[in-house]
Amino acid sequence: MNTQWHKVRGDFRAHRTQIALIAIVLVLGAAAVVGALNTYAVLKREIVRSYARSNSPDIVLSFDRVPPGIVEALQARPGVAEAAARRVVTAKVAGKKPGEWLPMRIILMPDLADQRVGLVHQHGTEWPAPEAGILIEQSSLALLPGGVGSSVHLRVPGGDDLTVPISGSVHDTSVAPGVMELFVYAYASTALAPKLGQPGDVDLVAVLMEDRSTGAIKMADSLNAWLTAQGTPSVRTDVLPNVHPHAALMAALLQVLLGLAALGFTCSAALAAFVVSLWMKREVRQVGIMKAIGARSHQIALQYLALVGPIVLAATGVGLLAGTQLGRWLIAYCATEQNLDISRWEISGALALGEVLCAAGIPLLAMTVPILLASRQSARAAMQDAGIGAPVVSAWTTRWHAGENRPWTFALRNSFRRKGRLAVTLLGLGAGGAVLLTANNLYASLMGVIDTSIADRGQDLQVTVTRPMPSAELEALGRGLPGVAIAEAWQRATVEITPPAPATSQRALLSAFPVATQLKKLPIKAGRWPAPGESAMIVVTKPLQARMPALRVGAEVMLKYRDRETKVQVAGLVEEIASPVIYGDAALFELVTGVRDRATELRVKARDPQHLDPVVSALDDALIAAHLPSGTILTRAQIRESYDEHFSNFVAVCNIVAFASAFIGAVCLVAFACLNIIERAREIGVIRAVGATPRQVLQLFLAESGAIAALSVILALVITLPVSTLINSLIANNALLIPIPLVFSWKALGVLLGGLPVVMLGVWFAVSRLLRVSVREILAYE
Amino acid sequence: MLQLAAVTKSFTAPGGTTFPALRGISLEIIAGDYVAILGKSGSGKSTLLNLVAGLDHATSGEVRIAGTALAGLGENALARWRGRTVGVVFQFFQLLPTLTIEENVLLAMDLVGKIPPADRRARAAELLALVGLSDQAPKLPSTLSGGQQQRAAIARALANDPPVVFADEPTGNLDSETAGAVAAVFQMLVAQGKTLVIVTHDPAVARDARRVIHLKDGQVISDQRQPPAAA
Repeated sequence: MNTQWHKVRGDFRAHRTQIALIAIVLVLGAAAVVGALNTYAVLKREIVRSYARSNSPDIVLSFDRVPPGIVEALQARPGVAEAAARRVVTAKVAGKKPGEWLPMRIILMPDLADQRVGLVHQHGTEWPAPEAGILIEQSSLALLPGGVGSSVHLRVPGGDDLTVPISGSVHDTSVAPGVMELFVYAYASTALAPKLGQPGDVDLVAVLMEDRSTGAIKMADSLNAWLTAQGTPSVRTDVLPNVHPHAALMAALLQVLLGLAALGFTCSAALAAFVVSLWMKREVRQVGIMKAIGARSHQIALQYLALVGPIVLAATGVGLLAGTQLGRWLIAYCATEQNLDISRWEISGALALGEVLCAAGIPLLAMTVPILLASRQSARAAMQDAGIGAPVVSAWTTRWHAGENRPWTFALRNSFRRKGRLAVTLLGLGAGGAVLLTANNLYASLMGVIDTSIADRGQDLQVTVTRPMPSAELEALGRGLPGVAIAEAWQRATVEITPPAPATSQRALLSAFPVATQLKKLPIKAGRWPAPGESAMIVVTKPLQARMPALRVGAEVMLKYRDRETKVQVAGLVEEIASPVIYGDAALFELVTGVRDRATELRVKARDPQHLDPVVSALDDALIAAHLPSGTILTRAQIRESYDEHFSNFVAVCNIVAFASAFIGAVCLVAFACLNIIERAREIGVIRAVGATPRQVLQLFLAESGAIAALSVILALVITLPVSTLINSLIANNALLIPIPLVFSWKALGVLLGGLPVVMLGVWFAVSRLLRVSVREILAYE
Repeated sequence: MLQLAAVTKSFTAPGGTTFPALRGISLEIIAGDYVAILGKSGSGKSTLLNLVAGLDHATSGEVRIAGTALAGLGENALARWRGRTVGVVFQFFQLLPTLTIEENVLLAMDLVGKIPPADRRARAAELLALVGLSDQAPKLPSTLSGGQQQRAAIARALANDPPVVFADEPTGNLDSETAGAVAAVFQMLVAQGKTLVIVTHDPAVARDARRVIHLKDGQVISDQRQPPAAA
C-alpha cells in the first residue's frame, strides 16, 4: 500500500471522533433535506389528487324540498357534469366527556352505492344495509366514545335524544379532519331518515361542473335564473372553493418545511466544513513536515480528500435511507392530520438523482475549501504554527475594554476575534431570532386586530338559521330566556354592488339590523351611521372599500339583488375583519331585496357576558323545540376561535417556524461555542497554567457565548421591527384590507431569552469536558 | 523549597502500552537556586518540569513545593497554588493574542488576585521595564519579535511574584542574540532571589545555572553544582 494511504488509514484511526462527528452532521443534514424534499414532492401531488378523488361539488343548491325531476333537469343543463340530491341534517352528538355535545353533520344520500358527486369511500368490501345505521368519517371516529359496531347518542332538530348504531366508517377526502375541527361528519342512506326523525326526501342538489375553470359564480347565477324561470327557485346557493379546506395551510407548511430543511442542510454542510477546518488546523504541522520532505499542495489536498470523500459518500447513503424513511413518516403523519388519501408514495427519478448529487456534492465542496487552504500553506509557516493563532486580531481591538476587568476584556475581544465567523454566526442567529420574533409578532398583531374587531361587536353570541324566518319569531326564541338581555333578528343577503364608473361590480354581504337596534356598536371611522328613516343609506366596511376605492362617504352606488337594482348612498365607513359587508337597516334591506321581514340571524346580548354557557344551552333547547337545526350558535369566544382557525395557516406556520428557528439557533450557538472551545484548547491550557481556576475558565467562555447571544438578540430585534411592520402592511393591503398595528410579542422575546440557559448549559458541558484534561496534555504538541 | 521523592510518571499509548517517562526521581532544590535540567529528547526533562510546575500529576512518589504536597490538591486548589507559587515560561511564548502585552501580564494578576487591584498596573509597568519592554506595553503580541514575546512571557510569569519560576526551553525558539537577552533576564531574577528551574538544550543558558542536572531515560544520571564564576 502507498505510504500516503497508510497515513490516511492512520489519520482515520487517530481522528475517529471528528470523523464520527462529521458523519453524524452529514447524515442529519442529508436526512433532513431528503425527508423534506420527498414529503414536499409527494404531498404536493397527493393533496390535489386526494381532493380530486372526492369529486367535490362546485355548487350546492338548497330547497325546502327538491322538486321532482329537478336533479335530472339540472344534470341536462349545459356545463353541468353531474348532479346529485341529498339531505343535510345538522345535529349534535354526545362526545367522550360526560355532558359533551359536539356539532355533527349527517349527509343523507338516496343510494350510498351509487354516488356521483361528493364521493365518500367506504372502509370494507360492501356498503352496509341502508337502515343498519350511520357511517362516520374516519377522522371523526376518535371524537366518539365508541367505534364501529357501537352506538352514538344524537340530538336532532325537533326530535328527542336518539341512539343510532355506527354501521361503518368512511373516508371523505374533501373535509378537514374532524378531530382537528371538533366536528363529526356522518353519512347515511335517506332510508334511515325516519329513524333520525327527519323527512325521507332530499333538500339540496350538489352540482359538479364540466369545466371548473369557467367560473362557478356565473354558473350558479345561470342555474338560479333557470330554476326561477321553472318556478322552482332555490332558497340558498353556495359556491364552493374546490380546494381542500387546509390546502393553503398545507402549501404554507410544505414551503416552510422545505426552507427549514435547506437551512438545516446548509448548517450541516457548514458545520462539517468547520470541523474539517479545525482538524486541518491541528494537522498544519504535519502539512508543513510533508511539504518539507517534498509533498506538493495537490498531493496533500488529495490525501485529505481521500479521507473525507468516503465519509461523505457513506454519510450520504445513510442519510438518503434515513431521509426516505423520515419522508414516509412525515407524509403518513400529514396524511392523518389532514385527512388525505395517499395513493402513490414514490418520487420522480430526477428528484432522487438531484437529492443524491446535492447531499453528496455540497458538503464535499464545503469541506474542500479548508483542505485546499491548509494544503497551500508554505512549509515554514505550517511548521512554525505554535497552536495559538491570532487570525484577525488587529490593533483597533486594543481600544475595547470591559473596565478594569481583564478577564472580561479578554472574553469581549475573543468574541470579535474571527470577524468572518462571527458575522456568519450573528447573521444566522440574528436571522433565526428575527424569524421567531417576526412570526410571533405577526400572530400577536393579527389576533390583536381580531380582538379589537370582536370587542367592537354589540352581541355576545349569534344564531344563524338556514331557512329565513319572520323576525318576531326568531327574536321570540331568545327573548325571555334566562340570561338574555337583548335579542335582535338581523337579515342577510348576498348582493352585487356597483360603485361609480369605471369600477366593476362585486358581490358583498348585505347585513341589515332592526331599525331600533341596540346592538349596532361598530365604531364609525368616517361619515356616520344613517339616521332612522334614511333608508337609502348604507355603511360599508373597510375591506370592501379597499377593493373598491370609489366607495367614499357620499358616493352613490347601485345594489343589485337578483334582477332588482337600487341606488343608495354611502353614509359611513367601519372597520371590521370579515368578507366585504354592507350595513343598513331593515327598511334598506326591503328596499334592496324586496324581501320583508325574513331574518336568518339572531344576535344576543347576555346579562353576564362571562357566563354564556347557560344561555347557549337554553338557546339550543329552544332551537330543537322549534324544529330548527342546532349547532349554529356562535359565541364571542367561538367567533374568536373561528378567526383563529381562519388564521390557522399563519398560526401553525408561525409556531413551526418559531420552534425550528429557536432550535436551530440554539444548536448553532452551542456548536459555535463548542468548536470555539476545541479550537482554543491550547489557550485554555495557558490560562490555566498562569493560575486560572476551572471556574474562571468557565466564566470566560460563558461570557463570550453570552456576548454573542446578546448581540444576536439585539440584531434579531433590529431586524424584526421593520420586517414585522412590512409584513403587517403587506397582509393589511392584500388580505385583511384593514390596518394591522404592530403588536410586539414579549412572549417570543421571552422564548428567545429562555434559550440562553440552554446555550450556557451546552458551553458549560463542552468546557467542563476540556477542563478534565490536564494542562500538560492540552499544551503538548502533536 | 522543592522536594521530589521517588517520583515516577508513566504514559499509556493508545494501543494500551505503558512506558515510563520518569523512573523514581528524588531530588531537592533549595530556595534561590538556579537549576538547569539537561537531557536528550525523550529523557523526561519536560515531564519533570510539568510535574514540579503542577501542570501534571505524578504516577507515584511525592512532589512537594514550599511545603505543599501537590498530589493532595484538587484542580481548583492546584490552579490557585500554581498562580500564587510558580511562574511558567513556555518555549512558544503562548501569549494571548487578543490582549496587549500589558494586559497579558495584568490578566495573570486578575485571575489569581494575589496582588491588590490598585497595585497591578504599576507592577505590570515595573515588570515590563524589568524585561525591557516598557515601550511595547500597549502593543499586541503579534507585532513583537520572538525575543520580545519571550521576555513578555517572562514578565507574565513574574506577575504574581512567584517564589519559583519554571521555564521550558525558553530560548529554543530564539536566535543566539535574543537568547542572550533572555538569559540576562533570568540572571536578574536569580539575583532578586527567585528560584529558577530551566529545561534547556542551550549550553549558554546551562552555563549560567548554579546547578546542572542531567537526565537520561527518566533517571538522574548526574547532578552537579557549577562554580559561581561560571554563573
